[in-house]
Amino acid sequence: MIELKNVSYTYPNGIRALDDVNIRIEEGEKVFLSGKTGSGKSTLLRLLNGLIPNFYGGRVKGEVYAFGKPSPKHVFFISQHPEEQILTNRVRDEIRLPLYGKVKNEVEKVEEVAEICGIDKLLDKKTHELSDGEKQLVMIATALAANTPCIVLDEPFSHLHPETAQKILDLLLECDKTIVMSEHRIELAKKFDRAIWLGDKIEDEVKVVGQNVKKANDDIAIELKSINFSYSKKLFEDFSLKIPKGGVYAITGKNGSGKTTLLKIIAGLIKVEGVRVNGRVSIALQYPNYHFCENAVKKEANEKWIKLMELEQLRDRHPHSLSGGEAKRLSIAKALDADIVLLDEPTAGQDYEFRVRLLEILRRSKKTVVMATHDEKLASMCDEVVEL
Amino acid sequence: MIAKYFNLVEKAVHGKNLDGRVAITSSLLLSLSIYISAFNPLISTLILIFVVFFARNSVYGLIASTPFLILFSISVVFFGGDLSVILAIAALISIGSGILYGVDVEGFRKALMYFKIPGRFAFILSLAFRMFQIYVRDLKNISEVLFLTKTSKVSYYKKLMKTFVSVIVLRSISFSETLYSRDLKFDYDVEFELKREDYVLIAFSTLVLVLSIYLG
Repeated sequence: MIELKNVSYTYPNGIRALDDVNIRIEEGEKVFLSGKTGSGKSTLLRLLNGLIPNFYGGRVKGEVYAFGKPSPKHVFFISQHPEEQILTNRVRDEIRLPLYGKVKNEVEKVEEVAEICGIDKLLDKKTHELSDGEKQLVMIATALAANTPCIVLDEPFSHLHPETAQKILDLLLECDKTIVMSEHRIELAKKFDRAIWLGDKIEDEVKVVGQNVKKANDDIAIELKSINFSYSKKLFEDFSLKIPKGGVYAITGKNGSGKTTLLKIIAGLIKVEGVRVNGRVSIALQYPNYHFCENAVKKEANEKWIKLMELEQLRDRHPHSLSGGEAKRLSIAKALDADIVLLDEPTAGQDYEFRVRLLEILRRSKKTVVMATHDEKLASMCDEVVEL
Repeated sequence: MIAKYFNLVEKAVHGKNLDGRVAITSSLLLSLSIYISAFNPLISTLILIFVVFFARNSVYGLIASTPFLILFSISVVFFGGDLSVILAIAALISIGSGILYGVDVEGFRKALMYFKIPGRFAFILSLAFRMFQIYVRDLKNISEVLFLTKTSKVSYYKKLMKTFVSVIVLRSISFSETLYSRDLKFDYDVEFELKREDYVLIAFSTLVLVLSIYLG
């Protein structure tokens, strides 16, 4: 059982992340945790396995009980970046890692869990060859194999295709462990036993903020003429695309279908014959911290874009002290300086309300925006969707 | 250009799947051979040719090290050295990228444990191996983002370094967080499986050592 009684937490830098939180979760319960960006969801999850305060420091007030004293022995933590959680080079070794020294028949256990998760074919693959979705599946398999009664997940689906996310969710909901998952896709809440909201509840309703407008615009911003590109597998064969100036366009497709590669081709970072781009290009990659080199938000981006991305209150903060969602907004604000803005998963880490508002914000910027996204709702509201 | 350079480094650090014990032993034997033979050009050339054919990623390692090799060569010429020293350094670089980076991270850890290095220490060393591969990719991604900002060269390198250092720190914190939140045990039995190429590598290294003793 998990129980938090009057819990407040302040980070070592003085930022108060949790204020008088009271939660009780029964053994085996599946709980959905949601709230606005920066509401303290990640902090709460880290509190449950002892990362806070043992690893991060800070002051905790109140009582925290998570199958005993908060500890990784009881609670397995999964973050939104599986890349940073995979410690070995082979899938088999990764799943086996928490079993060493604890279970006798570890080889059989690894194979059994891999089969349940449907990743038995990946067992001998190298971890750096996996797509993000596959990496997250490996992490889920590792968590299921581990001997902990509880798994907590911090936005595990932010970079995943809805189909892969659904597969992972089914696995989690069917297992007998206690599951606490923080997620911005609030439409998933109804699948859980219970939902806990940090701050005000967010309603799941789509506010249409812009029409799908197909403009008769002759000015072409991006033109790809019969391009061909492959890594180990063929990604683009005789692929053509024309994007007019202005408007917001979405690129969708499964993990590993080549969305990021297409953005890099448009940006000229991957040289391919047949690409014509009319204007200055900028890109905001999935990992927002690639974009920050200054010591304050106000120095990173133009004031106009900071205001547009609703970051005014964070102007004096250090970019690396921002939450995942806030950092993502700042990286988008920085990219808005160019004529053609390429965004890779811009809604990752964003709360529901902002996800819906993002499209309106991007339209107000009057730039040509091309975004690679798994967010089907957002994509459906764009001017055009390119499915890979 | 810098993005192309990082592409090369990225290719150089993803090698074949060699047995860790064989890779470590062979690297030691081959490095020792270069030293014992007093940087004999024959030994260095032999190693260089073998490693290039044996592990293709060593070519990328050598190309990626070209700036260093050029600077080193200039220093060698300036201080009265000769071609044999440059060849020896090139051979050592090829051993590093072709053989040492030809080991799977887990294989490297198992090998260290086989050589009686404590499990916890071996794990941390092997993790450093994996993190290096991630850092190389991070550096490539940052250089690509900055490439599009069209800043001056000085500003470009300044921003590249500032961002990269921050990302390294953040990544390291995340990995430490993962280590803390896993409750891992580090001492356990390890199994090995030798392949044909492992036998070829160890046989070649032994032969070269014998030859270098003879020549030295």
